[in-house]
Amino acid sequence: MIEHFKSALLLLLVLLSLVLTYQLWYGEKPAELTADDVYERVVVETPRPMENLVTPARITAFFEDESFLFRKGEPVYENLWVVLSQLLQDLQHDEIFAGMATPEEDATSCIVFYFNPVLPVGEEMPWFPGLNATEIEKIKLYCSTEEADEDAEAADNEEPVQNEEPAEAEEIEEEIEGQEEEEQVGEEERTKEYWLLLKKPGEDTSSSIPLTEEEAEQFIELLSEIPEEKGAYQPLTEEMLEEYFERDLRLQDSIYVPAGDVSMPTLSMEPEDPDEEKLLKTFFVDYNLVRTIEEGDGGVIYTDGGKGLRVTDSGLEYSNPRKEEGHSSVSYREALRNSSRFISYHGGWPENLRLEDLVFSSRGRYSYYESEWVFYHDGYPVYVEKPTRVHFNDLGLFNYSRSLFFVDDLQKNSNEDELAVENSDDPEDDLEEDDLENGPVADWVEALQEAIKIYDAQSPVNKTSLRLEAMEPGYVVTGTIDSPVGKPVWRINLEGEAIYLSVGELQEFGEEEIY
Amino acid sequence: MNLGRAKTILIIAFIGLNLFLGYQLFWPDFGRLTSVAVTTEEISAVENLLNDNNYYLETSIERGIKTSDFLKVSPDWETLDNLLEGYIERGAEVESNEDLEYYRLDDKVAIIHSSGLLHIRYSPGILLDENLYQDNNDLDKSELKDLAVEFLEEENLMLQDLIYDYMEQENDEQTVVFFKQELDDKPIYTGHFKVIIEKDRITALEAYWLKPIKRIPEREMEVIPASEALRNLVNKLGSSTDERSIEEIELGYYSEEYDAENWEIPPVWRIALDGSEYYYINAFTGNLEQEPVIPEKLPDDDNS
Repeated sequence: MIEHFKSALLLLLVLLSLVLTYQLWYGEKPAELTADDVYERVVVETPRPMENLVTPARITAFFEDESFLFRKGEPVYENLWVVLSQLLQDLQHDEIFAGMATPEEDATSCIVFYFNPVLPVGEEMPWFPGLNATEIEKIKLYCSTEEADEDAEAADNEEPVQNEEPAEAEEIEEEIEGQEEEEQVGEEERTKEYWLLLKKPGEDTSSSIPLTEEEAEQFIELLSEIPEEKGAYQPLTEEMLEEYFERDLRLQDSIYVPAGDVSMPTLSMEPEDPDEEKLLKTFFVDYNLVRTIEEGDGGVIYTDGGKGLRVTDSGLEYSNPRKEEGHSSVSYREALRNSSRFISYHGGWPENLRLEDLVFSSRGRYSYYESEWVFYHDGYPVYVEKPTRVHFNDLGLFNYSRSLFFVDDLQKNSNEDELAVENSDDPEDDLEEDDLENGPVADWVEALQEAIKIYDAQSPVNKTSLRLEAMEPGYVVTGTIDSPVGKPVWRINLEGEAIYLSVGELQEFGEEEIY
Repeated sequence: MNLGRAKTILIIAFIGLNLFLGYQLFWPDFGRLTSVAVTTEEISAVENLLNDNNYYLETSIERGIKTSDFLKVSPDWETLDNLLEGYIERGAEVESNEDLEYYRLDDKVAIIHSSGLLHIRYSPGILLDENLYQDNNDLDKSELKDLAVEFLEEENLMLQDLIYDYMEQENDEQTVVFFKQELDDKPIYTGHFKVIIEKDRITALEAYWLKPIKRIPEREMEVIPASEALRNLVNKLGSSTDERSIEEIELGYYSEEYDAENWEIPPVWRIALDGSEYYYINAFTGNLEQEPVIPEKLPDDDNS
């Protein structure tokens, strides 16, 4: 009897062990004990150095009797900034802000670097590190006048006097000495002079630093590399505005417009394609707590109930309302570093994306910094409906929108070689080819006239005087999300209103047409 | 070798093996079965905190360890279509604009929002049982609830997973009877019906019904204890000037109503204050689920 019981028990134990083994091997895992201990290391871009973060908003140059404008994305711009940045790091401290060496009255402003955001120099900065912290909004390179240069060149070309008849040795020696003296005088005449003028924000006067010819020649050499196809620009003046317009127009800032005929191509664009999972991990420490909301238009919202991230075909928007109610007590420099950190961390910092603005703002009892970023293509800004903006305070990032479109590979290739679709028989390809052709840019006078018309039609008050804040060619991203295009536009800022006009027909682009 | 002896040795060996396997398989849950998430000391501490801030606990707190997951849902367009079929069959006049669809039939207007929210207005309203009703203040809650259920059944709106939730007296003349959606005995608070009674008539119905797409068991996690949810709520609301009673604390699913294809709903602790004010504490994060956090608008540019 007992043996039967033992057999049955043994059989039962064997079966139980099989069931337990199966459960252990294939069964469901127990739930996580806690919801807040799931962390993962995320590899993101390293924030960039200050030299990449604060760059000139634009560089104007006067070279060979013509004015030029350079912006982000142009090789000349990049090279000029590298040279200036290095120079500002190398200059001796006692030469800075001495204000003793002023340029000659008739010296010309060869190159001007405009900074917005302003350039922080002094303590903890790569530029003038030994000085007290301060900011610079404009740096001008002054060159000695053309006349002086011409005199120097003329002196350079003068042939030394040669006697036809041979002379005695002493006379020859005297002649040689005389020639050497003449050559020394010639060299003194030939020596050009250069000054660097540094202007701080809110100050009318500038501090000047004399430059050696060697230091200054680096800039001049770069100007000789201006591509032939680069069109000249001209600065707008109050007199020009008076000449062409009956309306009283006031210039808020120096504005440069194309001086001659310019053409711009329509660009084939593609939206940024971020690594969504990685992006998610940068916003949500524990993304296991994140839930998704799939919208009808294809957008996806991620939220943990406290903060939300919406990812659409054209970009992303992030919001953390709990952090809005905070203050910002950090310095401008620290805010710059934070801007670099946030853009690098949340999506990365693509090439030719420039920090366009950094402002301290307040709303009621709360304060924050807002940084804005703009993508440039070949020196032209690419505008989108919702610019890439970062809002942050001492509590951290609380609002972030990012919408970036890049020129697609086909377009890049077509710029180097003719369009790949050129020989295609496909009518769609022909259409694409037509669309991507260069189009002429309407004259600035016509563009401004049209913008004033539009402004007057939209404005409830008829203003007798208008403030012209900015005027420049650029691109707006439009078309369908499957095949977005960058249409060349005139962007004209009148009385705080930005008006986008197609460069050819001068048709206005409404907000709803822009991505 | 003696067979009986061999069996004994094998029995001992298998008992050992099964104990080992059982340990590996169940140990974490063994621990959870024998322990509680909320100790009596914690309950006392929470009660003290509540009382200090003028809140009084009038319900029991669940002490066991609980787990939950996310629930994926979408607006239940199929059920909505079925509800409106009767309108169309009876020749309802249909109009639509960008976000709304109107179904006009005799004295009723059904309005469907793009989010799936259904709103039916009855003009001048459906008269309640005259024999029963004299003044709705004279009716007790159970009678009003019965009338609301009866109305839903008559209108063919009493869905299978719809259960009575609570009642709210808006003013002297208006009472709202709330129903909630359930899934496997777990409430989905987002899905709800509201029957609006004014004086002696039912004047409107609001219905929002969700279709559970799937539960997400691979994301099942332990939820925060109810005591922690209470603490978080008091911290968020601050002290009350008047005495307030906490009449219910219950685990369910809740989220905002989204104009979306589908979305995941988190588990929440729903806490009822004075029987009429409801708060939802995310049972994973402990955050109060309130205003939408969906990015909508950047701060005004009020530069200083």
